[in-house]
Amino acid sequence: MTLSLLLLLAFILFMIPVVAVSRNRIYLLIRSLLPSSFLIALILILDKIIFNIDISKYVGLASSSMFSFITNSLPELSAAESLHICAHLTYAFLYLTVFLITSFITRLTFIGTNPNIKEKHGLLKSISSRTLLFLIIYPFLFVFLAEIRRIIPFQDGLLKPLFDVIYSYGANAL
Amino acid sequence: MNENLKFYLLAEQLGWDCSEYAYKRRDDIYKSASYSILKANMSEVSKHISKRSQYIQEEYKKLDEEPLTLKDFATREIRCNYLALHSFPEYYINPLTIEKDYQGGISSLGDLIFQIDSKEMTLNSLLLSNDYSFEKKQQAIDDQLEDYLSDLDEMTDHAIEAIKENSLNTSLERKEGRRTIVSEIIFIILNILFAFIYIYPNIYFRECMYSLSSDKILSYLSLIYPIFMLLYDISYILYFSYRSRKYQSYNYAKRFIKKNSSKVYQSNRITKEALKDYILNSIKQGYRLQNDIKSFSLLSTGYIDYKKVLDYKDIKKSPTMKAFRTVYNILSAISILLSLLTFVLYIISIVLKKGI
Repeated sequence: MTLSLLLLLAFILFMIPVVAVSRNRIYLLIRSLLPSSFLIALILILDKIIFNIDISKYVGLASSSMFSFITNSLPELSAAESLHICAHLTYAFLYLTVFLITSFITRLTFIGTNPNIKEKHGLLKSISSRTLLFLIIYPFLFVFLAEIRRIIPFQDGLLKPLFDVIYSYGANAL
Repeated sequence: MNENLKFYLLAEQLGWDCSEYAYKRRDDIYKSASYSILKANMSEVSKHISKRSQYIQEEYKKLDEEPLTLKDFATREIRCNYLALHSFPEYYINPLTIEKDYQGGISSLGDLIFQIDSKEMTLNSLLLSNDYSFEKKQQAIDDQLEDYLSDLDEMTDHAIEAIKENSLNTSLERKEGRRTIVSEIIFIILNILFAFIYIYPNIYFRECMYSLSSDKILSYLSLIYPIFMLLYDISYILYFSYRSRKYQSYNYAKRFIKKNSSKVYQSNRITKEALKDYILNSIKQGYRLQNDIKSFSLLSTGYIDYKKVLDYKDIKKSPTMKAFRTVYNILSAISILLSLLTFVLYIISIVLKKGI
């Protein structure tokens, strides 16, 4: 098993709901996932692309005590790597928490669109909403696993060059 | 009615007991031409949702009741003739509740039978007739359309009732709702546990995973556990995706009705008024109605998909749904057991500081 294969399986797994779920459920999921994806995307963009202010370092410092039980078990991790992993585990935690809260609120207020009425440009809307749903789930998982692959017990596999672009440390746990 | 029957009927009215004669002739109705026609039309009648088709079905069942008197017998015969005549689609089809995939003999609203001055005639004949004034035609059309509307409103009542019956107020639905929430929680917990087992750097577990050893249970589990987790995730996603697709009309109606039930009745009336305007326009323009029987149907294009809402319980019992549920239940049970077993052995390996 390699991380690339795991991500391929995850790709297939995420494609099932994207293709099979009903139109209203897609809208519900998008509404529930958008705030968390937006928040994490904003942090990652601010961190890596725009200002290069290394937010991850500060987030890692703040959350290191929460995830120290994981990072302390790998003595070969440098302090910087530990902070990096703590930061990304915090982002994952944040993503899930915001999703669960938004999902709860959305379920109470959401009505959706009438499935009996064919919308104008229905196919186009369906394809774009399904693509959007995929884009607000899968890339985050991809980046998350690439960022923390230092502690994952799998080799990189085929996608190693891509992982290195996302996070330049090699995956050589154990 | 033959002369013999008339005689016995009169005798019965005068106080004679003719029940024996009625009993002897009880099966005559089944041999009549009108009964044969009615019987042949019944399968088509039962497919349509309208008060008139419902009435025909109920009355058809009553024909099997044994007549105790000759009066009952005669009434039954008259009723059978009436039902046979009204068992044709032009009499019972409601254009507001006709199915979108209807492929029967009626193609136009103009073929439907309307009543004016106690006379029955097709709508097209009524529209083009010069015997009645515009106002009279308008009144007759409005009366009939009000009947259609009340039919639709009644169906809306039934659908709302069905939704309320199936809503979280009933113990069955509460149970179903609880089961869905529990399934979601189990799904999240099992996946977090799975991620934890692989992300947390337990050196003993990883040793068992990398160097597979036949005497270590963790070695077997490190192979079987991810496979079953993958299968469980697929079955969960497939089951709930299929469910969301099958229940989407019902779920939408449920959510919509919670806040906007008055809008549904409003939409019914708006459609009836649109139909009326359409018909009246054809009188003014003087043309026959053609190929428009399904144009005003709200059966599955309104706020409520009546068919799916009223068939909600049948979807639950459908073989595909049962198959998905069974596979999901089996895989979730196996995954829960495997997760627990792996987690316990995982913890033990940390405590004992060796692979098990």
